[in-house]
Amino acid sequence: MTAAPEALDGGTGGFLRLYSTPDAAASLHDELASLGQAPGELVASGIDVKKYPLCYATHRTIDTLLDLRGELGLTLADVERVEVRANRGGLAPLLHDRPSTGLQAKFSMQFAVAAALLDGEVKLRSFDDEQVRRPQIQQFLPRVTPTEDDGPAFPRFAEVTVHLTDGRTVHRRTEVLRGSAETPLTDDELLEKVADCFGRGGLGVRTSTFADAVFGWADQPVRSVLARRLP
Amino acid sequence: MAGRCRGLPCADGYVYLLAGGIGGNRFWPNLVAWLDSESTPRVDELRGEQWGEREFVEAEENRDLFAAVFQPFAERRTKAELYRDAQKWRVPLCPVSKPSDILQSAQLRHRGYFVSVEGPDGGPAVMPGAPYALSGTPWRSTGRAPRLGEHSVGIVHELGYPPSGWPGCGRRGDLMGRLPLSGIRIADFTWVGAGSYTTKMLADHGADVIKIESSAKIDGIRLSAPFKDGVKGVNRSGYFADRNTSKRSITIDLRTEEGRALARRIVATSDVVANNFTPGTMARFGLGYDDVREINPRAVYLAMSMSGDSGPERDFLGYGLTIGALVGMHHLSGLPGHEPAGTGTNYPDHIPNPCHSAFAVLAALRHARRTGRGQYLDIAQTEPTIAVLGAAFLEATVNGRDPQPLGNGHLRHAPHGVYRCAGRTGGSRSPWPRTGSGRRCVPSSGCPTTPARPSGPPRPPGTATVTRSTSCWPRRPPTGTPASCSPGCRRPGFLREWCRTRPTSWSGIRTCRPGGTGCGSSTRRWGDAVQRAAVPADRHAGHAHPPGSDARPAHRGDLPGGPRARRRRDRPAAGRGGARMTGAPTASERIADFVVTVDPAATAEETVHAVARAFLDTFAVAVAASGDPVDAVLRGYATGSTGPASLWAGTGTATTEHAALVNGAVGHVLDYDDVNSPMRGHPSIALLPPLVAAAEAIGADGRRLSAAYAVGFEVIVKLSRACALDHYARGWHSTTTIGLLGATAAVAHLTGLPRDAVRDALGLSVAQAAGTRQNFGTMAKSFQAGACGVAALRSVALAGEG
Repeated sequence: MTAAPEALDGGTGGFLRLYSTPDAAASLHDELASLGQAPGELVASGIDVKKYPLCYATHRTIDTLLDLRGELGLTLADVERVEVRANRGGLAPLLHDRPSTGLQAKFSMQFAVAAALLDGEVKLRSFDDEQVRRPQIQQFLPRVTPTEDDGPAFPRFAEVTVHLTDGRTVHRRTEVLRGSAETPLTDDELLEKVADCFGRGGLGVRTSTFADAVFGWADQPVRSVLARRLP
Repeated sequence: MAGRCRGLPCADGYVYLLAGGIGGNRFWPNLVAWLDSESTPRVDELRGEQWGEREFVEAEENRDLFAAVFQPFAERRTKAELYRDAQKWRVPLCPVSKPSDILQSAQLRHRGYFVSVEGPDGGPAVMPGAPYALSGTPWRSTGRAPRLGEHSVGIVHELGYPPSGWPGCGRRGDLMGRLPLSGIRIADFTWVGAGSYTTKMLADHGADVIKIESSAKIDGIRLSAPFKDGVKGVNRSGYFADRNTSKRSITIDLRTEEGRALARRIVATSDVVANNFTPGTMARFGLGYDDVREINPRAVYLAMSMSGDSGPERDFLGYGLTIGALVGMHHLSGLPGHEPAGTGTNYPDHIPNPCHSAFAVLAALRHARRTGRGQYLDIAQTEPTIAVLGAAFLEATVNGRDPQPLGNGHLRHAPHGVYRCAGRTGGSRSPWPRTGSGRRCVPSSGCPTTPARPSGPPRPPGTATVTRSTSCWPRRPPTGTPASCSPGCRRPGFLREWCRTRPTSWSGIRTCRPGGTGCGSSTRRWGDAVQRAAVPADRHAGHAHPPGSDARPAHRGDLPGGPRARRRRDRPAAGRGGARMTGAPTASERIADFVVTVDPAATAEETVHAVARAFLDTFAVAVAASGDPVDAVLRGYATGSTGPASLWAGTGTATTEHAALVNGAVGHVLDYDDVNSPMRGHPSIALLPPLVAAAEAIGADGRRLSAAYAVGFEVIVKLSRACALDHYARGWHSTTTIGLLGATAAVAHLTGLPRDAVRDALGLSVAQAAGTRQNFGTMAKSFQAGACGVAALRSVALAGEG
């Protein structure tokens, strides 16, 4: 079946003309000049892996809190309140201050902070409704205060200030996004996520077998690799 | 009514006369009138109704009488004169021609049958041309047979191996543009007779046949007579020249890994892979069907061994000459009562095997075109040859009699034979054979000295035609031991076995290798997604440019960042949005050029690992969403779908399109899948569901999948850098719009779509690129991701069609 050779960059009804700006076609041709050029976009642009199963706007904060929790041995009981300051626009998607369901919790900085401090992890199971409705979580939500900076939108950052019940205050600023192309997860960190997902889908015990098969897939038929996901 | 047939001497050789006619005697009066018109003495003795009765004609005295009248008439005339005059009188008489006679044939000259082609070792050579005429797409025997390894450099260059420094020799696009098989490439491992002739026919119809040869183990017919000027040489054989027109030749040492890699590369770009080795030979080179299917699941694999690739004799050695003896042809040729004469290699090598094989290839190509799946053609050369002898086998199976050689005799016509010309020395002077039943003949020299004289019962006149037709094979059971060949000949047992198992049918083509797993199941089902036959015959298979390599695609001289790019920058953006210089490649074409340039075999380990990580992540996220309402709804929709592609969240499989739909949607529902910043979207959920489904269907490995992913990712990011910010701001769900274009490029790469088809696939994806952010927060967001994968598969499947 044939199609217009100009379907992408045609001047009247081309994809770019219709779905973007009049200049986009010219821009595309400029971009295509480097198509396939080393090191390739898989390296140059890269993949951001989502480390936590909720809105990206919470990720730097969660990273910071989990670090502090590990370093200082903090738990939710040790914390009086938490302030989170993010770059301008950095909190825009976080619509739910008082989430009561898992879906709402995915867009809630308050929940992210509470869950990270209480559980030491933010995983898929954290978003079961009953997990969200736990009293410790719900009681802590008002003690989280997210605010946006009024400076530039970039770089993106999260400044976390933890006020402890003993009066101390811990402050830390984070810009890197773990799992991003710039700071990728290690294979082990990635497999933690995979194990969490597999556990959720009832395949938890298959994680390492399957991961080994995938990491060794270069010369293996994909179909036989996929078969390894099942007992 | 029986006719009267025989060869008869004339002034310069023999003519062959079917005197009475087939099933009647209608030509006899014409014959008598012709002789009468020439005032032939004693012609009146040939008049009368008795000459219409077989028993009368078969009587020796009457045969002598006919000879006494006709012979003096014929011996004063040449073959050509007799042929011409007989036709005037509507008498079926023709010359017993020699090749030199045939070359002078005005008829054949008029039709242009013989063609002049550059012959062995240069110079013109006249050889048989088109055996049939296709008015719109004529057969072309204009390309001479290649010299040994003549095109090695060019083919290697085309394949981009090694990547640079080799001078190229262009494809013969001018000749290949309009013939029916143009665009079809054949990796031709055949040699000697039948295989070479098969691929010659395909080449003459426009296929790009790459003959893969060994300079160490030369194709035997390169060293077979006749030679130009009688001087032996690998490029001087007329036999080779005739059997290998229109092909290209490359020499490859398949004993080396480098050579095998090159062969695999040719195979990867071919529609047909042909060989006529003993079974197992190709597998030893890593080119057995299982290997080829891995490399190129759409390839039609023609294997023409003597006995096929199964059974107790699969490993037996044989050639056309021996096959003729093995299957009964040898036995049935020659004179009754004498040792079998055989027919040389003519039948097995040059008629049934190449013709049936070529036909089988065409049928399989048609099938591949419709379904996208190749298949294994197991041609046992014994079997098409046996098919030539169908009537003889029915005599054996129905009447329980082994047919015997008839010499120059005929089952129904008598007298029937070839006779010595007058004036020749030796042999019988009598025009009538003194041997046999009177329906038999003698050769031009050496009459049988111990003739069998079967003397069956006279045939009553007026026997019903039906009765005769069922008993018209040798009416007299042969005397002595039937069907015995020379000592050690295995034929009788072989025939009995064959007859017992397959009494009347011929099934030389098995569509699938017994015990194979792919072509009967997964590959067939892949057809529901990729229904295209074309193989990348026009694929510009440059060397690899994997991400991470410094190599740049050298397509069409349009170097990245070169003058054209600068020119564009200098030009103000046109109000109409036209960005392309007239005549310059479009964006789709530039992407297509890139897609076909990337070599999966050269994918960097880093890329393989990066894509493995992306897959683990994406797959896991889909598993995590198992049981989600989106999963439940789409699984319900795909209920009953059967195919090769896994449903990630769960245990089932489905068609490639259904699997891409379910996996893409379920993998996106948690919004936990990976992201690319320029894209403002999720690259892997666009790329992996269709890619993995396709890879499962065609049996691709992780490296090939990784290469395709990297190709798609590259396209996504370039498109995104050009338009994603504005595109996304306008409300498009770039994951499923830009992502679709990338996925299309990726699947096209994985499945080896030719360049122009890649371009068209991108256009077809533009036709399906949808997905809006307005749907966020609903199941439709996930659906958009699934639909993106379906669209990519569908675009690739359809782009190769039509």
